Amino acid sequence: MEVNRKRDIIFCTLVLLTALLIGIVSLNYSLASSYFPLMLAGFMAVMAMVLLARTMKQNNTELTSDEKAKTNSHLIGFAKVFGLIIIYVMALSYFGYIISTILFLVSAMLILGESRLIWVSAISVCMTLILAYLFFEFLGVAPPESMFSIL
Amino acid sequence: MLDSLLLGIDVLLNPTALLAILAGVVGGVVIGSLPGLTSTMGVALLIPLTFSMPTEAGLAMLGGVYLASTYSGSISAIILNIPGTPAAVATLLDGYPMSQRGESTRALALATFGSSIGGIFSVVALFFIAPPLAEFSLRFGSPEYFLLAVFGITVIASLSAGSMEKGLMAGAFGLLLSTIGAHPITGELRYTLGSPTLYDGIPMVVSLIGLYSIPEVISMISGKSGTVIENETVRKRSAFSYLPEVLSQRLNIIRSSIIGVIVGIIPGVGCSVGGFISYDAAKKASKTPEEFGKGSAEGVIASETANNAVTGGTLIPLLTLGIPGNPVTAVLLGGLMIHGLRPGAELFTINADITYGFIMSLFVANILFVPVGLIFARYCAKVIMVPRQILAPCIMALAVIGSYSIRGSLEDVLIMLFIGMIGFILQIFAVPRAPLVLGLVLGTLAEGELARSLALVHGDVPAFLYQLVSRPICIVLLLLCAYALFQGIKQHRQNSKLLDS
Repeated sequence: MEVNRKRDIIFCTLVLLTALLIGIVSLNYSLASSYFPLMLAGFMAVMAMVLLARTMKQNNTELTSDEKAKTNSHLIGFAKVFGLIIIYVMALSYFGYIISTILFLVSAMLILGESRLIWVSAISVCMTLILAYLFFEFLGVAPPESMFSIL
Repeated sequence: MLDSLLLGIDVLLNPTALLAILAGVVGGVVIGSLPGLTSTMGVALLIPLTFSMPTEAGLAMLGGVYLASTYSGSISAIILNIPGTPAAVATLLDGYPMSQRGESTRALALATFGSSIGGIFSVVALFFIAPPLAEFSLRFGSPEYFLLAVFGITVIASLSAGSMEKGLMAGAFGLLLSTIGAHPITGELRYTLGSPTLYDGIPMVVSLIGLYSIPEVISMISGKSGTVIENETVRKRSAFSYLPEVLSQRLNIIRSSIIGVIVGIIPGVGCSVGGFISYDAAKKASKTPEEFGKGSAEGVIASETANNAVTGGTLIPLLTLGIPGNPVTAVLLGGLMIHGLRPGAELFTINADITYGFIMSLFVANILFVPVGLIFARYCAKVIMVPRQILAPCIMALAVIGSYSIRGSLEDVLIMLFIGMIGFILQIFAVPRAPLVLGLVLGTLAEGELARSLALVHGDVPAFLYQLVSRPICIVLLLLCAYALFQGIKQHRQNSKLLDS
């Protein structure tokens, strides 16, 4: 069986570091509360070492340039999604649901390559109102509290 | 028995009760298909509406919401790869790949008919075997519950497509995430970073939204997934034409329904576990196990039949003993009490007309959500044809508002984003996400029951181990665990050989 050795080594290292971190943090708690997470962290570390040993034995396949490009575009996509949602959450607490959601949808659609501005605006307003009706009117969820807006 | 049946039918002859079932089913389908809105929330929100209704009609409406929302979680799972409710997690393993092949109508139809049959089976079980089975479930103590959780976790072995070690690590990480918050026995707060939002742990629905919606949106943006044109042959077929395909899988349906009812009877396990165990059993029994995870019809039918069969199962201990098996039935118990009904023998004697009316209304709801669900799903299925630059922001907004709505907290949105980041990392390193979900679902049960079992023997580990090998139900569960592990490892080796060749 062939594996991508570099990818698996990075993954195993990450798991080992996570297990170590959990182990260290768990020491702050009483044994009665920490034996279960400690057991799990130990299990994760053992599995990571087993995978590491197996990866070293197997044939390595290098990522093709196509796969590398895909990974890069995934990382860029992740940065866009993460950034957009963080800004959206911050906007919710300042401008309220309606303004923030319309702004978020319009800017996200434009950033992702949609150029028909009328379409973008219409869909953003409709989507915002549908979600507002479903969540805040029909189901009675309280909208996020904001500094400059009611809804 | 015939008298009981007639009592139930008599209640259904009232147009108000039928209208209430229809309203409950429509509401349930909408609520369940929206990620972030759970069956529990739906039932809880509609309880006040039932105050002014006749008791039979009010309970019928709540039952309709419960069944329909459990089913409709599969709609968004199949179309968007985001489970509407935790019950639908196992469904997306095959439902979404099927949808990506341009067969979303087929996947939705299989899920709908499977759910309906599973639900009907569980109502029949509720009608006939409720009291004896409920008594049996009372024999479960902490060691049995702990082993039950371990049995659920053994499913990870066959859910780990690719590397089993990676699946096991993801499962362990899911279990670790479930330990965030107060310890079930000592109450000590762990890994909360001082944030009160994490005192109660990570909400299940928030985790699911993050784990499945964020990586999906990233894939859309990167051009890996997105607009799918429905297969021409599938598009021309009516959804009802898939009923014979479902009925042809008799063994799968019967096995999944039985698993669902049994899982439902045992309190604290839940629909998602029923779906996973049934999916695993179907994969092991299948002649084409290699198709699982790539859009197998057997997989969709198994998980959907089981998760709706759980619904009737959870009502067995609720109605006979007053023990709610999951959060929805806990809310339903509140609904019963508000209407002046006390679970137990009284419910089957003095209030028999209401109880059997309620059971019969569940039967009708299970049939009624087929047309309602299929009509709703037909319009939802068009979503996959929306260009990804429009669909992705809409999914993001839905994920944010859905996560926020669980507890009305923007911090939950950040938790969703954090879990989404974990989901993305898992995707990058080719680690399956389903074991992590299973760990999250079963973590609290496993840790809580282990701690309780140890507390009962004053922390004496050998005494605890002796309990595991000396109690009859524990022995059966240990054998089941060993069998599931053996089968999982065997299947995994076969798959690896297939990949090598």
